Amino acid sequence: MRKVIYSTLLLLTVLLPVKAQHTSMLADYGVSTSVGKASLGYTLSFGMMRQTKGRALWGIDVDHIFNSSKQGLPDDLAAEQVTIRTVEYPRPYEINTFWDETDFHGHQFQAKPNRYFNFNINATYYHPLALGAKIRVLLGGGLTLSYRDEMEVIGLVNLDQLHIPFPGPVLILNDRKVPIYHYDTYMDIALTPRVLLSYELSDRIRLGLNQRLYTYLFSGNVVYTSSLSVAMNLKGSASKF
Amino acid sequence: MSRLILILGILACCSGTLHSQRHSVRFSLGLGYEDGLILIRAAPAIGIGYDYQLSKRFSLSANLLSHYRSMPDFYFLNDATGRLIFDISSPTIEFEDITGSARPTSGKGLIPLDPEFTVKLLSLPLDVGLTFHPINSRRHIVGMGIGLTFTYSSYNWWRDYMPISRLVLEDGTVIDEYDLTVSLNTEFHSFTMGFSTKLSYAYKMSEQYHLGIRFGNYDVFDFGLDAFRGALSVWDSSLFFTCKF
Repeated sequence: MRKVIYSTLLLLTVLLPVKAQHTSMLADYGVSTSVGKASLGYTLSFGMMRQTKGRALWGIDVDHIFNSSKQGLPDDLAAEQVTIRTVEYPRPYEINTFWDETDFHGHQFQAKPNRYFNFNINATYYHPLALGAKIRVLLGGGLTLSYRDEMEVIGLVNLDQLHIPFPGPVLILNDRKVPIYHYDTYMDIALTPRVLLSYELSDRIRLGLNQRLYTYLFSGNVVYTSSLSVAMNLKGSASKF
Repeated sequence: MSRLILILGILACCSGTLHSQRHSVRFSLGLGYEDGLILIRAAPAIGIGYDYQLSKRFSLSANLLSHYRSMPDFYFLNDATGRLIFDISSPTIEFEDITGSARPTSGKGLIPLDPEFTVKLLSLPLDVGLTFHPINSRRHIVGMGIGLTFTYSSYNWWRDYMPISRLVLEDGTVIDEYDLTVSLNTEFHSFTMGFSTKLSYAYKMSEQYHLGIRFGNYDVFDFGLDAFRGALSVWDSSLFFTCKF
């Protein structure tokens, strides 16, 4: 992982000063979802784009995508007696083991145990579809190297009885459901089609709406992001996208 | 607060020579740390910031940092390999004994990595504050910043466990086992206020572009209460690139 970090930093450091006349820095922030996981989260990215003579763009960018969800759990955890703490259901075992929500003012116990994180390094090419005076539409594609870290509930174990010998007389609980988690951490590669709608705010600044679809080749997952972008042309060039 | 605004106004009017380009955007990439400057397995932290130059010596700054990391669970080392794959633990009972199905295997993707890091932590601090530049020469600029921080955190941590002496499964199987524990997974989602302190150095590649390194802390107000022990304080050290416009 450190090699990836240092390589990325080195790449950015070397490429940044090079021919800034037709180069733009671009930042994105928006929403994301892991398709089929009923999850919602955010994406945050920045990168550098260089414009060709035909007003196509190519460049690299890095991004974080984080999604979470409660897929795999019943809607009402308390009614189903699932052993996850929530604000409404802080004591699934009826006794207070060590602490509960009152010990964490300002915090919430929310049952969104499925977490999907991606750190992506993208190489991207955008082809201009429509070029107006102020508005541009570009269709892009990219190749993404991704570090992915996931945890999710893969099932519930139904327990007719639990006997708890601690802290006093044996406490017998009936009909509890214990979630089973699964964890995966891996590197993957994705093909990433993109659409960028951009509006010229000034000579140097453009606002955009960026749509990306990360299609992971080895894990088979699909992640969709929709984000607002700000692009700044370096050295105030006539570079437009 | 009114004094602060007044001071900022005076500083903006009176100090130093201002360049016409007061606005700048900052892009950063680097490493994040836990409180105590502990480095755990983490993706590179990404940050985007904005600066408004009040004077040669002062600027207003806002910064959003995304910091994700994972670590092994120190409560549970479940099976012979010490790997936490599911959250019912016993030295003698197998996964299949309780679930009735085979244990799922890790190994997705192009290069599978170690899945033992089962505690997942996300911090998303947004901070707004004032930066003082004790050095702001033709080529070098040093910044010392302080600000208010609003942090969104999401993590599964500090899970505790319940010792169990008997389990009765759905099919009627009875498991008597005094070493059995069932974990109580706890999911935190929090929004906390705090403060940030930062130290930065940048080399001015030109009037418009600066390349630098930043070291920052994003802390939480605890008001002296144990109640805030669940809040996360994070640090970052990042390379950044600033564009003025």
